[in-house]
Amino acid sequence: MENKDILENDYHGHPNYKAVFGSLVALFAISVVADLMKGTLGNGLALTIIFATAFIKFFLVVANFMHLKFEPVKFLWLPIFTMFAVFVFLILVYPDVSIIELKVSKW
Amino acid sequence: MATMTHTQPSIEQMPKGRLALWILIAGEVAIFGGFIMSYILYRLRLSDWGPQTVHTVVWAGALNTMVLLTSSFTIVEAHAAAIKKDLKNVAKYMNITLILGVVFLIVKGYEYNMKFSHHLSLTSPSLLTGTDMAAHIGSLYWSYYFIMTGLHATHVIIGMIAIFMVKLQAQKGHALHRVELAGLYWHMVDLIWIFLFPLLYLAK
Repeated sequence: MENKDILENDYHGHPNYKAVFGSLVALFAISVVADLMKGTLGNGLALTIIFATAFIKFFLVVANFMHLKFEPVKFLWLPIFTMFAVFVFLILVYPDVSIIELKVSKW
Repeated sequence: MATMTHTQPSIEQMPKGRLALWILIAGEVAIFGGFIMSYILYRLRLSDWGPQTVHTVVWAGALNTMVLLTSSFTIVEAHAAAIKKDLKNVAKYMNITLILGVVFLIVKGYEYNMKFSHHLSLTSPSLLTGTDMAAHIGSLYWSYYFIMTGLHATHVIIGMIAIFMVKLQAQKGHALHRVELAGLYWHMVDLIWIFLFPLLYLAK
């Protein structure tokens, strides 16, 4: 396929980028406000809001700006497997990190 | 003009350049994901880790987040302009993305300068000379901070070089499909910062 054919025959659609950007800015504002109101909301709730908005922003960018929602379903194994591998890394490394404090206290 | 297909596209229809970029992005997710996961583990397990975050400057991190979110928007608008073969807007939006990249690096440079002036660096030798274990953990924290943000900034620079090189061709109407590819890489840079900002600046 020639380069010009790739552009003209591309199959993915185009979301409303301005609306997606507006949503990203709103989510960012929510996370900053949650941080400023940590004293009122409590640390746990504030951090939950902050990281929840981070994940929503992540999915908005990946699905809309990176057009992942228009890609073949079979292709999704690549990003899903990569993220799964990162979480497996977390679980496998956890035993090493969990004993660190014990080692430190024996010094 | 790009049109939606009415049937589910196959992976064979996927442009090879786009597939290659996604494979690259998967590798980057593994690298930064590993850093972020091990940072989270240390943050949860070591009581002396969290207090180091007081030295991060929230307003600088917030400004950089807005800069990167806006640059993600401008590069995707450049892609939309490339589809329509609107060369003037392709160049305009790519130029704005580059300018925002420079702003990000300037703010990051200011932050690094502030850290260095407080003797906080990749190895923080002033912390390592102490016998207090909290100081050693602090030194490890700053190693993580500078490696994660430094590696991210390196990716920003590489992304800017790629966008500039693609822009040189695209503004003449050549290789317009590469605008999306450069944009994909730039969005990945933004995605990494979407997680670095709350981890390093907000989770205090």
